[in-house]
Amino acid sequence: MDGSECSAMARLPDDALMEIHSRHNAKSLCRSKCVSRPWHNLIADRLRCKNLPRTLQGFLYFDSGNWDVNDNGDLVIISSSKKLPRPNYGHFINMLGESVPFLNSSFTFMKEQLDDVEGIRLLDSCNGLLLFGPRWGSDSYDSEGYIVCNPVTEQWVAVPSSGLTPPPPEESVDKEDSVNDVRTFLLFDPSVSSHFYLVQFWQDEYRENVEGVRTYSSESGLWSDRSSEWRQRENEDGGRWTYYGVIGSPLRGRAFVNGMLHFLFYRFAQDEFDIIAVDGQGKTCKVISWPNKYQLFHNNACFIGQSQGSLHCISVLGKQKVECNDDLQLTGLSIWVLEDYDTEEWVLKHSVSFLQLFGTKICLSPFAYVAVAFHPDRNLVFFVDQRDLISFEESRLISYNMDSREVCVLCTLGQVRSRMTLYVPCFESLALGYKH
Amino acid sequence: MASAGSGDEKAAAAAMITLISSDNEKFEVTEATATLSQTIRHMIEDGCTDGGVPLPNVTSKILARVIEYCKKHATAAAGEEGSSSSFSDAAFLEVDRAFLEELEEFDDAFLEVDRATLFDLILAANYLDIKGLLNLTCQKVADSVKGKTPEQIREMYNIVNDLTPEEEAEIRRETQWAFE
Repeated sequence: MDGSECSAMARLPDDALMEIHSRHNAKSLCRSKCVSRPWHNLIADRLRCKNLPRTLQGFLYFDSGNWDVNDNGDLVIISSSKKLPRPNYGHFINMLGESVPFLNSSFTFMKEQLDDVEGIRLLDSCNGLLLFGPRWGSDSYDSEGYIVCNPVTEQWVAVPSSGLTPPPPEESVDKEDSVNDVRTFLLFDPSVSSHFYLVQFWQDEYRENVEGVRTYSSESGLWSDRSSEWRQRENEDGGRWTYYGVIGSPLRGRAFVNGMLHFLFYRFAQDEFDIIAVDGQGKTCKVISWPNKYQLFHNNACFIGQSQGSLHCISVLGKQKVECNDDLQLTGLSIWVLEDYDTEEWVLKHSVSFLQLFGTKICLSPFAYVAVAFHPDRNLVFFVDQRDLISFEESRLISYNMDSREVCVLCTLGQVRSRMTLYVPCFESLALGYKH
Repeated sequence: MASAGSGDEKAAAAAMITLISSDNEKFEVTEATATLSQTIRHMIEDGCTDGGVPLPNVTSKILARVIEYCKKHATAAAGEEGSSSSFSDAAFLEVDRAFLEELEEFDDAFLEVDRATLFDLILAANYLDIKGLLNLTCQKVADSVKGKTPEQIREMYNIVNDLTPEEEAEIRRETQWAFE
C-alpha cells in the first residue's frame, strides 16, 4: 500500500464517504460499521439522523390475488370463494432515487414459503417488520400460522397458529368474509426490544363483541389467551368499546405511538370512529374520540398514522348538496394531530380541497383515492389516486406537502395490487432467529 | 482528447471557460462541458468566471480526466436534446441505444484507474458537484466492498481499525445477521 492511497481515503470528506455508503446494500452497510470508528459513527449517524432518508425508504405492495386478467386482457375478479390464484410477490417503490434499495423486493428469500401455499398476504407492518398471513392451507382460519419477516436482513420467522378457530358461520358465508372476523396486528419497537408481539382479535359474525383476544410474544414463542382478562376488564371499566362495530384493517391506517398500537374501530350504530390504543399484551390503554366526530361525512375516508411521534388522522370535509338533499358532496380533507396525548387534544393541522389535491372539483367518491401513509418525519401525506380504477386506467402514487401545498406524482401503479405499506428499514436481527 | 489545448485561442469565440488546476495548468472548455459541474454552473451564473476559474483542490492530472468525462457526457446530453425530431421513432431509439451503449463502454473504461486516482476523482466530483461522475466513482468503490468482511475492507483501503475489540464485538452483535 502506498501512502497516497491511504491519505486519499482519509481525505474523503464525510459527504463523499456517505455517497459511497449510501450505495451499499444493508449487509455491506452493517459490515462497514465494523471497519473503523469514523465509519461506524458516520453510518450510525446516518441511520439515526432523522433528516436523512433512513426513515422512509419507500413503499411495499404485493400483487393482489383477488384480481386476474382474462384472455381479452380485462381484469376480472376472482370469486372470493376460490382460493387465491397464485402466490403474491412483492414490489418496492424506492423513494431514495439513485441509491440502491436496501431490500430485495422479489422476496426470493421467502420464495419457498410463498410458493408453498396458495396465497399469502401482507396483513400489517411495524417499524421495519412485515406480518404475512394467514397461510391458507386448510379449513380453519389460521391453522398454518403467520410469517413475520424483515426484508432488509432477509430473516423470517414462522409464528405458529394461535389455536383460535372461529366456529363455522351459521350461514354459508364465504371464506373471504369469515377472514374479516379476525384482525391480527404486529407490534415492534426496535428502540425498546428486538422482540415483537402479535395481537389477534376475533369478532363474532354479527360484530356484537370481541369474542377472543390472543397475543404472541417472540420472546416466549408462545400465544396467550387474553380473552378472560379482556372480558373482566371490560366489565370493570363499564364502558366497553367493542360493542357493535368493526376493527379496521391495519392497512387502512394504524399507528405505533407511545409504545402502543392504535387502530380504528368503526361503530355501526353511531356511524362514527374511535381510535383504540392497545399494548403488546392486548390490553386496551385508551379509547380516543375522532376529532370532528359530528362532521364525519364518510367513514371510508378516515385514516390514521404516525408522524413526528404524534398520532395523526385524516377526516373528510363535505357539505350537504342543496339540490339533492340526501347526497353529500365531499370537498376535501382535514388533517388532525393529537398534540397532547394525555388530554386527547386534537389540533386541526391542515385542510386541503380535492381540487388542490387531485385537480378535480367534482364530487369525489371516497373510493377514488386511498390514503397510504404519513411521512414519519415530514409534513407529507401519501395517497393513491385511483379515480380511473373503474375504467382500469393506471392509478398514481402522489405525495402532498402540507407546508408548501405541493402535489407530486411519484409513480404510476398497475391495477393489480394490494394496499400499500410505508416501509422504514430496520437493521436489527429478528430476535427469534437468535435465541440467547 | 484530454485537455483542450490551452493555446487554442481561436475556439474562444464560442463561450469558453478557462479552468485552472492547483498546479496552475490552464484548460479551456466549452460552457456546455463546464456546466456539468454545478459548482462551475453557479459561478457562471454569478458572472465570476472572467480570468479563469481557479480550482485549488484539483491537480492537472485529475482535472484532465474530469474534463474528459464531462466532454463525453456533455455531448450525450446535447445529442438527447437535439436529435429527437430528425429521426423516425424507431431509428431514434436505435441511435439512442447505440449511443447509450457507447457511453456505458466509455464509463467502464474511464474507471480503469488505480485506487488513489479513483479517490481523487471522487474528491473532484464532490467538490465540483458533478452528479454523474460522483455516482459512477462512488458506485465503483461501493461495489468493491460488497461481500467483503470488515478485515478485508480495512486491508483493501488501508484503514486503521481504531475500535476496541469490545466495541467491535458489540457492533457485530447488533447486526449479527450481516456477518453470516
